[in-house]
Amino acid sequence: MDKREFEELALKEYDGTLTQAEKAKLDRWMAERSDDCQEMVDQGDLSRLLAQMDTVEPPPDLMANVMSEVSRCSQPQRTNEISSLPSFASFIAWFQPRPGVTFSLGAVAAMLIMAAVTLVTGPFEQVSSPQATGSIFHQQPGFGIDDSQELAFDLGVTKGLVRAGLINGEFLIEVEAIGESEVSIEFEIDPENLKFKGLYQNSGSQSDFSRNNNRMRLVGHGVFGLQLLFETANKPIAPITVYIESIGQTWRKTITFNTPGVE
Amino acid sequence: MSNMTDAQLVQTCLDGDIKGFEMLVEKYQKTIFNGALKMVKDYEDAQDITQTTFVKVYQNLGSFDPRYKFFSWIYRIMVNETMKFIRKQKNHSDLNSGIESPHKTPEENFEEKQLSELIQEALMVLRPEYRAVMVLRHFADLSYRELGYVFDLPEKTVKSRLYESRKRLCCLLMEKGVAARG
Repeated sequence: MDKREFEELALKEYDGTLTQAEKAKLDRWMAERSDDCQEMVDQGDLSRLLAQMDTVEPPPDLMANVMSEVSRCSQPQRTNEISSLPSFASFIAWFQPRPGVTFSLGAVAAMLIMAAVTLVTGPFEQVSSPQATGSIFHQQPGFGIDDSQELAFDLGVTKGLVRAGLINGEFLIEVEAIGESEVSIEFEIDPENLKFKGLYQNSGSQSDFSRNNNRMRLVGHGVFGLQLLFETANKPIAPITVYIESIGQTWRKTITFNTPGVE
Repeated sequence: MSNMTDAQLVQTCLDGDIKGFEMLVEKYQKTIFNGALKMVKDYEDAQDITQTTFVKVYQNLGSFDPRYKFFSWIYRIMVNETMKFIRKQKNHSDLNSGIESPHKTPEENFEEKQLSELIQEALMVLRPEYRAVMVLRHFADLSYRELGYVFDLPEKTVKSRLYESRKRLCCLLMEKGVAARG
């Protein structure tokens, strides 16, 4: 048994799901390691302490407030059949047009065609189609970003979304990707226009992040979600170019922003 | 309607009867609120997060996959909202400020505060992603598989986070004079 297995068995012990054989194994391990033995005792006590924590009643008007807000939303509709993978499911859900939301299927088709063109023309080459602008992307409710814009990409083995926009006066870029291979997502951003503040991992496997002057690069694998936060320079947001690469296939797009209120 | 499963209530709502959603809010408001409260420690902030969570649940109800448990999905949205909130807070102020009283001994701290408060304070010292795993495992009773779904993480990563969180929490509670060591 190694430390990892010990941790696994210790968790089972706290959960009360340890089998006799596992218990014997754990006991043998602890008999030889007093530190781990003490740790088990401490953590056992922790379960007891946590069980004593109070449960608080929610505010009495919470439900009324929720229902009042909900009554202002449009009626939800079932989207298409979704994948068995939860994150892919949420990606699809994110991607589905919804009632009351202007969504250009033509724009999406154009994006996919552009992606295909890019695959043919090779890495980091300019796509001859017009640049994407905010006007062709819909604003999806429910994700907390105002004036946001989205780019969907599909490289076959890797699919995902890049979403960017202002939130409370700061600029946020969100990336969500799913794939079976490594994907590199690179942003070309004018540091005079947007000052980098931090990177946050939302979900999924750990990703690598590097930056050099006006280039920021994320390399992730499998399913992951990330956020990059920037300070604005109190002037209109300059165009941002996104390069996405997965096993030699590259997708490139420039996002331009209309940023009312930031002058 | 009170005997309906979550999936049936979702369907009722998608069929146009908002009463189905009201039943879901009624059923989950307490657990979602308490989960958020243990994550952010502030009653009003927890209220805001709970409210936003339910509104987003409603807006995205059409994408709910009935093959998954409704409460796992709702927790997933709650965790995302809470993380967003914590990030925003972090940019404006130090969320942990005022938690520790440096001039007092652990014994004095212990005497002054209720056990719940001390545990809550210790929870707040954990990194938010670790705190969230602790909260959902111990207070919402989610399985490792469900936690994996909520956090988009493999089960083994969830377990490892949980183990580390418990270990850290034990140390923090001992420092605060709460005898996790009996």
